[in-house]
Order: sequence, then C-alpha cells, then structure tokens
Amino acid sequence: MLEAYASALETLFQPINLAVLLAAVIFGLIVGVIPGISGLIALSLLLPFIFNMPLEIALILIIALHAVVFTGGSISAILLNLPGTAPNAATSLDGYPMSQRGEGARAIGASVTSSMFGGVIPVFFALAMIPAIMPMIMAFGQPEMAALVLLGLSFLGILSSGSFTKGILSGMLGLMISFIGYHSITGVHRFSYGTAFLFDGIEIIPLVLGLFGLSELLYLFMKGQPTIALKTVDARLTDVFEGAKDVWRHKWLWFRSSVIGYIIGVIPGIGAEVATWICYGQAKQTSKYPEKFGTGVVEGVIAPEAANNGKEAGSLLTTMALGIPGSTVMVIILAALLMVGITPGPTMMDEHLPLALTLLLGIALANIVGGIICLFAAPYLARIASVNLDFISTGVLILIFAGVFTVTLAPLNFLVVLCFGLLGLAMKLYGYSRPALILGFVLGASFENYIWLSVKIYGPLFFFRPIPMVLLAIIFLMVGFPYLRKAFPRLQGRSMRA
Amino acid sequence: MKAKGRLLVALFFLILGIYGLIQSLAFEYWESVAMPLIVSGVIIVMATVEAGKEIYGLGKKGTPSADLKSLIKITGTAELRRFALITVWVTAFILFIYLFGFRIAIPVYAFFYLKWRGKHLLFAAFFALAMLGFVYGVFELGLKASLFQGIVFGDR
Repeated sequence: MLEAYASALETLFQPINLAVLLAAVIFGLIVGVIPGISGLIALSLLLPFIFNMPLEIALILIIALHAVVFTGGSISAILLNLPGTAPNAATSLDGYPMSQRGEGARAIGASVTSSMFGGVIPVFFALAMIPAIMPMIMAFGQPEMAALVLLGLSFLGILSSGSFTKGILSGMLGLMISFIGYHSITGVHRFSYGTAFLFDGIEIIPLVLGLFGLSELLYLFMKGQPTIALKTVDARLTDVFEGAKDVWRHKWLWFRSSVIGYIIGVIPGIGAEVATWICYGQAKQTSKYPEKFGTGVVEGVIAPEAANNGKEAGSLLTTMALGIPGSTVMVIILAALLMVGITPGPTMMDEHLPLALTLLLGIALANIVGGIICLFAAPYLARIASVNLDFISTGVLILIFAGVFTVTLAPLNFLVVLCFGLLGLAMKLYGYSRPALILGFVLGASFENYIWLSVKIYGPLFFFRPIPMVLLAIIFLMVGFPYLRKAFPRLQGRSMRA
Repeated sequence: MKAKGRLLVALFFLILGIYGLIQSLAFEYWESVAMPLIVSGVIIVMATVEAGKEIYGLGKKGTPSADLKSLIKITGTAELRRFALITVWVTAFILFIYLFGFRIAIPVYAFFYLKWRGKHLLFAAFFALAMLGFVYGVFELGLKASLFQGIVFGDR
C-alpha cells in the first residue's frame, strides 16, 4: 500500500504532469468564471484530446480541470452576481452583498481559501478510507457488480432528475443505445440494420459531445445570452488575505462544511448544488446571527465553497472504487476512464491503485495551485466573465465537430452529434436526466455481461446472495419511500420533524 | 406549451419502447433478446406512466394553468425562433463540413455566424481565420490528425 502512495506521488510530481496540471487548472478557472459555460462542456470537449494521450497525463488533465471549476465560479458569483457554475449560486447570496459593500476582495479571499482547503482535506479522508474499503470491494463478484450497477442507475436517475419515472426512462434509454451493434455473447448484431456504421455501436465521444456539449450550446442560445457589465474591481491583497483569515476565524464551520461535502460526495448521484445548499443552511442554523444571512456575512461564503470542492474527493472515490459516478461530472470522468482502457470498480482499485491515488492527490494539488492563482489573480479572472459568448460558442461548436471527426474518422458521426444534441436539449428542457442516459450507456454492456455471467455461474437466482440482496433492498426502499410517505402520512411528519 | 412538450417527449419514449420491443423479438438467441426486451418493457411502462401524468394533468385543469401561461410568456415564440435559427446554423455547418471539409467550413461558418450576430467585419474575419489556425495547429500539427476534407475536394 505504501508503495502505491509513493508511486502516486512520484507520478504526480513528474515535470510533465505538473505542467499539464497547471495548464488544466488555468483552463478550469477560466471555464468556471464564465457563466453559462459549464465544466461539463469543457470536460466533454477534452475527451477527443485525451484519446491518444498517455494515461496519467490524460486523467490528470481532466481531474485538475474539474477540481477548480467551482473555485473559478465563485469569483463571478461574488463580483458579478452571476454564478459561474450552478453550485456557486449559494455563494452569491452573501458574496455579492459583500462585494456591493466594497468587501469583494475579502469575500474572494474567504471563498478561495475555503475552496482550496475544502478541496484538500477531504482527499486525505478518501486516502484514509481506501485501505478500509479495499477488502470489502474485493469481495464483489458478478452478481454484486450487477446489483451495484443497477443501484447506480437508480441513484443517478432518481436524484439527478428529481422524478423517478424520468430518471429511470433516461437510464433505460442509455441501456437501449448501448445494445446497438455486436452482442459479445451471441455474436448477433442488434439494432444495426445491416449498416457497417452501427456494427460496433454508437461511439461514446459523439454521444457525450452531443448530449452535453451541443445541447448546452443550443440551450444557451435559446435562452438568450446574458450581457455582463464589466466592473473594475479594486482588490487589494491585504483585503484578500483578510478573507483568508476569516476562514481561520470560522475554522469549525469550514471543517464541518468540508466533511458534509465529502460525505455527500461519497453518496452517488447527489450533485454539488445539494451539498452547497445543505452547508449554507447548516451555517445559518448554527450561526449566532442567522437573520444576517443573505445580507453579506462571510460565513455564507465559507460554508458553500468548502462543500462544493470538498465533495469532489468523495465523488471520485465512489466512481473509482465502485464504478458508480458520484456526480454528473463524474459520469464524464467515468467515460474518460473507460476510453483510456480502465474499468472503474474493484478492478481499478486492484490493478491501478497507484493511478487512483494519483488522481486523488491530483485533486488536492489542483486545489492548492488553483487557490494560489485565484488569491493573486481574482480581479483579472473576473474580467474573463465579460467575454462575449458568441465567440466562445462559435469556437466550442467548431471544436465539437473537429474533435468528433479526429477520434471517429466517420463523417456520419456529425449526424449522431446533432441528434443527441437535440435529444439532450429536449431532456434538459423537460427534466430528464442526461447523466443517467450516459451512465446507462457506458455501463450497459458490462451490466449485460455481469447478468449473463451471474446466470451462468450461480443460476437464475443469482441475486439471492447477501450483498446483492442488501443492494436490491436499498433500491426498493429508495424507489418506494416517496409512495410509502404518501400512504403513511405519519412517516412524513416524522421526517419533517427530523 | 411546455406541458405539450413533456407529453411529446413521453410519447417519443413510448414509441421507442414499442419499437425496441418489436425489434428485440426478432433477434436470434434468447440471450440477445432478453435484455433489450426487458429494457423496452420498462421503457413502455415508465413512458405510459409519464404520458398518463401529463394527459391527466392537462385534462384535469381544462384551461392552461397559471404556470403554463407564464411559461408560454417566457419561453414562447422568441425562444422557439432562436432554437430554429441556431438549429439551422448548426445543420448548415455540418452540411458545409460534409461538402467542403473543415478547412473551408470553419472560416466560412465563423465569419458569417459572427457577422449575423452583429460583430464588426474585421473582428469576424480575424476570429474566423484565428479559429482555422487554432484547429489546424491543434489537430493537424499537434495531434497529427487529418481533418475531413469534404466530399467535393477530398479523396473519399
């Protein structure tokens, strides 16, 4: 185990990997600052580039970019009242009033410091958890994995769309799409209509770029783009460091929020938005002056920022150890891992433990580097938020199609991107879960294999084993709880009192 | 309008499920039939529930709800027009790539799109050429990938 930690550190601190991490952090901060351009678009766009890259470089690039997106997003939330990313909305509640009072630099100092350390400490929780969970996940066989994939689909489907039927429908559509092409067990071509283009099925890159990249651009254009009035920010370093000191003054709030963020991250399917609002709420509840929240108190900035960066280590751990994405963005990271030939889950923790540790440590290092850059360059970064989105959307659209062709070499995939772009837009508009679709798609083939192998090895009643039974019970409870609450109002009363 | 859209999406899923069910029954071995059949079945059930919710909701209210009215106000024709326009632009870009390849499609699309969005002629021209240079540099020189040359000028 210690050798794996040493190997991870050695990999991370190689000059080329450090250079990639720095570039990814700068790109991630820029993406985070620009309202409307989400981390999802940036990560989707990176997929074609990582295709031929060395494994470590490709994954460090993706992880480092994602690790700091929320840190960048807090800057535009505080200075412009335009959250760069959705989870930064809670930060703007108190950050923007502080900025209006002339305390913008202090708010940024608090937010960046809270994000930075909030992203680092949970990495150590995750590193400490790995030796404890390793024996458990190593006991997982085919039936356990099949039940686990089903659990992941249910979690992500239900929690990311807010509607059980819509979530399940999205996941099932993903499964159906994964069935297109050659069936590895029987050799039958399914849903390919004798077309050579569909013999190997739909490829992941056009699917992801259409569903997340193109659909976001269409949505952005459809909703109309915000005009951002650029304000000059007089940010003195002393004020920024005053904000950093605020985090120390409220160290228990910060620590609590990081821990809550980490725990929420470990639970699959709950997004950073939930983590930030829960932490904002607990900061308000435990405050001596809750009535002042929303008028510009620094605790209202510290709590959500610690939570949104804190959850990433937990999400990544769940993604790598169980193969179930801890959050929406982790679905893309899961797809990236599969693309570079690594199957997340027990196999990854067994065969690629140093790589898993490198990625976790990469989150910590990216947060530190991103935090330092933000502390000194926040006012300049804020100016990026006023870049005209027409230029960005034009560039992104061109990169989507160039990236798709570079990887697949099939012009027909342009149509696949367009179709999934339109489908993604409809799903976004009508509350269907796009991450659940991708999850169903990426796990579809392995889910089917797990099921058939389980049937062959253990017979048709393969799920009558302890772990699959527990996992299935969790799924049924999760699915049935809303109906039970309706049927037994006393349950609702209890949960409300709790 | 949004409620109708939700109903249409639910019906889309329903048709997809029925189609998947019929198709999967035609596959050769039961191992290749079973999973698509089960998944199609689940899609049909869930889509019916979702469509039922929408139809029941619409029928019960009779007239458009306040929520629906406000949505029509906010998301109505302007959004639909913007959606139609951007879809036409994207489709035209794809068609242009297919016919003439990236090297011609990128500057042409970027220039005309930015001009249409009201950008200054020089800005649009500079950005179009810069984008072409960037894509050529990153993909052809950096990644050693050959960009699609289109059916008019390419070898394909």
